[in-house]
Amino acid sequence: MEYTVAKFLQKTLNKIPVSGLRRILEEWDFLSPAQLRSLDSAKYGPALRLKVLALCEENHVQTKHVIELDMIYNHAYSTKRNWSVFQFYEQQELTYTMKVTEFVEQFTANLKQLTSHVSVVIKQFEDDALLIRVAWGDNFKRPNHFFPTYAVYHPHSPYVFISHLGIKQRPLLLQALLIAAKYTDIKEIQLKGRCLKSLRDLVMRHFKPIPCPKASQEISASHPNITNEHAKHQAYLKLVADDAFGEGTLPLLETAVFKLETKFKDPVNRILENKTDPFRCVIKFSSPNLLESLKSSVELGIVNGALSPLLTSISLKARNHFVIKERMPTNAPGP
Amino acid sequence: MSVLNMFHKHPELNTASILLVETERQHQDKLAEAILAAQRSFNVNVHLADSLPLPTRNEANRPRIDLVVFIVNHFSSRSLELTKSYLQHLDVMYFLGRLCFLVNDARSAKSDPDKLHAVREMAAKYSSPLLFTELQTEQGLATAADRLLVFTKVSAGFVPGVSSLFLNTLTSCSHPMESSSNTLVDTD
Repeated sequence: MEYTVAKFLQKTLNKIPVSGLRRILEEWDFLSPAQLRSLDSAKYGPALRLKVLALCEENHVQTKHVIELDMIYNHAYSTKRNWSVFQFYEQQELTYTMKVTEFVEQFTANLKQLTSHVSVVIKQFEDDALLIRVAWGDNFKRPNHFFPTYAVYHPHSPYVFISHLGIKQRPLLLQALLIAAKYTDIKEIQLKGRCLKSLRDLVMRHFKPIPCPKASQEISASHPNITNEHAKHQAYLKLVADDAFGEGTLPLLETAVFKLETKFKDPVNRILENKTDPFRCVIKFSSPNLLESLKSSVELGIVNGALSPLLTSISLKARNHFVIKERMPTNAPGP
Repeated sequence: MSVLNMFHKHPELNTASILLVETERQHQDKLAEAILAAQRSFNVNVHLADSLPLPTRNEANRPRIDLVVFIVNHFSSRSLELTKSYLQHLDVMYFLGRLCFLVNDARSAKSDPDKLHAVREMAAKYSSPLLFTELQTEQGLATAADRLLVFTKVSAGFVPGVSSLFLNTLTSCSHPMESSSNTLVDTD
């Protein structure tokens, strides 16, 4: 087996956790069922991986097979990557229905025209998502398969989710996407996260909190001998939290970043009062599940009263990154 | 300042009442259910609160509280500070054996020994028992419920000859050691 292919395969296999390895190998369909059955005997993680490597060598694995394995892994474990969201604007032909094969051909042709040293593979998965994998190279290097760019595109929605795109390669990829998807403009919206499904829900506004006025229901205790002293207050807090964030499971976001460019105001100390320049600082909120933790901080009474509208607008505006400028007499903070 | 009073109400026949106070409302529901499921010879009413003073609108319906249990979350200093502020709203009579502190999952790897030390100091200052529980498991819940019921039984007066102050001398928390437990001193 060639050294680069072996290294690539080894790195990809090491990323896959042992618990999901069987399922991914079955989906890959490169090893025969007899070979898969022979893997049952190895229970220890590294031993299992060595066995898989040996079996792949028997079957004469090549780069294209390993690329397919990499794509299956990234589709199954897409929460391991940070995804940024891009939106298409101004569709060129309104009645155009996308054919997947056409999109694939046009995209690959365009990108290869722009830079010749790329490796492009597109695969369609069950939930109608197109996973595009691009490995970049240049005049002196072969395409680098260890740091590829991934893009997820749903053909009937104007959104693309991209991860690991370098600054130099950005215009190339975006132009190829524009031409293939037949739009005139593409912009990055200020939303970043790990969970693709949550990002999709946020941008498609599937969970928008509907403020419906309903009487606060007191949570009845499970046993008649248990009484909750603060039942009314807790029901009220739950109502406030539900109004701000909506009921049901919230989309999974990890961070919220606020870039402040406002003047520093401190009525007590008056240190930096006379400076006319804005006081630049960045506030970052991070949590394994940001929206859920904000909601429960209201429910448990950790926050006195309602949350600031800056935080509750995260789900309304479908954005993570905000820039807050000095409040002018006419307009609100943005963009 | 409204204060929870001990002897302002009449006790009920063969009934005791426990008040569980917890700022973050994580474990009090399960603990209440475990207390009611445990074996006992008297009726129990469990009241749940997340802060003191208790709302005055419930004052009329509330029975006499025999035991007050503060469930302190030793992972956060906010919980400890709030609990100390709630102690002002208790009548002096509760501090003679009708008060108990409870800490959950002290064996966890995430626990900070300084915070645990602070909880122990508070319990020792008010000479009240400090229980260490494991409320994540069924067995732990049942054990904690049994221990709380022992305190309740004495404090409600169901055990003849034993008063809550008497039990308190046996169960109250002692002051933690002054020197740090990490350094080993070699003495010859």
